[in-house]
Amino acid sequence: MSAAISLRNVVKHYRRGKESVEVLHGLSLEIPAGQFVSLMGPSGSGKTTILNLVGGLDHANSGEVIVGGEHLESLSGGQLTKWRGGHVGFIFQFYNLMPMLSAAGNVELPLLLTNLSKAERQRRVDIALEIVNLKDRASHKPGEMSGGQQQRVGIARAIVADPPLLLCDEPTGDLDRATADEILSLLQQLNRQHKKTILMVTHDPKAADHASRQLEMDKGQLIERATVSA
Amino acid sequence: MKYFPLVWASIMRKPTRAILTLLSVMLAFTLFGLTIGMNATFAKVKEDARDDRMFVFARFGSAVPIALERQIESMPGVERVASSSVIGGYIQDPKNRTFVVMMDENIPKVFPEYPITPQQWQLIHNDRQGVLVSQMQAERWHLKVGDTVVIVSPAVKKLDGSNSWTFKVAAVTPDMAIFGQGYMFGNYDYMDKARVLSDQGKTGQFRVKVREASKTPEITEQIINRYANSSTPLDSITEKVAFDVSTGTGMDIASVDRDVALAGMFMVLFLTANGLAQAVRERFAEFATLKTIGFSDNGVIALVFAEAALPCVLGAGLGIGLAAVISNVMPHFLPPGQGLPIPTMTVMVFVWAFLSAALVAFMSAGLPALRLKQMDIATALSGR
Repeated sequence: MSAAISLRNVVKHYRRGKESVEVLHGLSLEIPAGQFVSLMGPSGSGKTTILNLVGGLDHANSGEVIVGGEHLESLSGGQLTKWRGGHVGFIFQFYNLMPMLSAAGNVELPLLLTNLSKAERQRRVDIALEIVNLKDRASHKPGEMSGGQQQRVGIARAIVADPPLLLCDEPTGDLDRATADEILSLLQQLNRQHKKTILMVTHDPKAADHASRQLEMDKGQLIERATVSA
Repeated sequence: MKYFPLVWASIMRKPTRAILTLLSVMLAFTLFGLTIGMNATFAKVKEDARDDRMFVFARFGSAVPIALERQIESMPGVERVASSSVIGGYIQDPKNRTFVVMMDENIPKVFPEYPITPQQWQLIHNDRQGVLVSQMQAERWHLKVGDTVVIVSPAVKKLDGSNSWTFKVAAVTPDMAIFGQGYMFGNYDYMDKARVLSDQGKTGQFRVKVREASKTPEITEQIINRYANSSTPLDSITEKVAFDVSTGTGMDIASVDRDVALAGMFMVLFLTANGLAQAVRERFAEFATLKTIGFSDNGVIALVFAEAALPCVLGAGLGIGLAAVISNVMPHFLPPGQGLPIPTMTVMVFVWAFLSAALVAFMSAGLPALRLKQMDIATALSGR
């Protein structure tokens, strides 16, 4: 299986005031395409940093970040933006939906950047909402939906442009157990049926159990916890 | 167009704020339209004023002996002299103020540009009580050809002791920019023969046309000097100077007008810039999300610019529209004969308004756009 994500000797440090804090110390990681990987670890261990690097939201100070065969460190800001639009779907803890747009309007956002016709955009939005089982709430605004429904809208938005990779930053962190399980099952479904590669950051061991591979960050280093063959 | 729902939804996210902003922009552009429209009127009046014509009037008092008309006309360089007096008063009710300019037969020769045909002039010379009524005045007083109109003039007494002046509408004629609220032209002879004896043989002012415009200052000086020691010392001013609002009033009204318009624009700029900065601040994480899912820097900035431009352009359109409506109805509510200028909504006024709206939108979006361009997505998403 080819690697969807490849991090090689990645170093990342941040400036906090006058101090430079190194979060990743030469980290390496290979995630094959089609894998559902959970990433756990204490706050400040570098989980979200990895997500940001893989998603092209941040640059490594050294090392290589290769996603879908693309060397992200060689891409400019504009190129990264374009690349993100077609290759990565983001799912956030607090959904990050536009409160003034309907569910369908939110899901349509990534498609506005394409040259698709209005009818085709509408068709794809319908499919995405169908997958997350929210077709009947298409015209509802986020404020009129529960947390779980909002997260499903967030997932529909992440998959509507059919990116091969989904990056999830604590997607169930704001949900109750039952709703969280529904969302995690949905992610499993996307991984198994739609062959999406998923990298999910979580604090919740139960959420991590839904992944086929579990990693843990500790002091800037990765520890393999478990791998379940798909 | 596909981004319009996103822009519209962003603006209408806080409907009260959006509507109040739109209203403020609209009112500021109404003020802008009226002031710039006023400047357009001043410019038009100044442009139409001629430097080969002058006003000649009594330096002291309000009447000039009509006999001086021929004397002045005989002066070298003078082509023609006409006289005019005003019967100012009201129709039926003192609040219905109006006036009739009583003109002699030379007026058409001194003012050939007036949109009145020789036949129409002839009408008021054939019938001394005839009056030419401009379209605006005809509409205001519901007058048509053949109607009788009585003007009560407390200041101009008649021989019979009354002060009611009866006129018969001889023709309805086109309006002129110089008479912002319309006009009525009557026959001087009617006025002169019908008024009290002590006032007969006098007129309000002369309008003098000279043969060469370059000689106007010289002739002006000659007229003033010639009558300086007479029983009626005269004064004179060229039409160009008289109709230039930047002279003779002690201040440049046109530039004061411009300053008022600029102050209005600054108010709009401050308002929209502040509103937009606040809106962007409140939605920083949302813009970060847009950038995360693939919106470019320029794309996000374009959205912010559109958010600023929409209320500015819409407000400008509504404001200028309101200014145009006010300009149209204003003459009906202002007393004529007071020389009150009415704003003229020329194409340039609209062009200036829309250019200003675009500039205000551009400047309002400047700082928020810069902030969005410098945004660190990871930091913005984390809410730090």
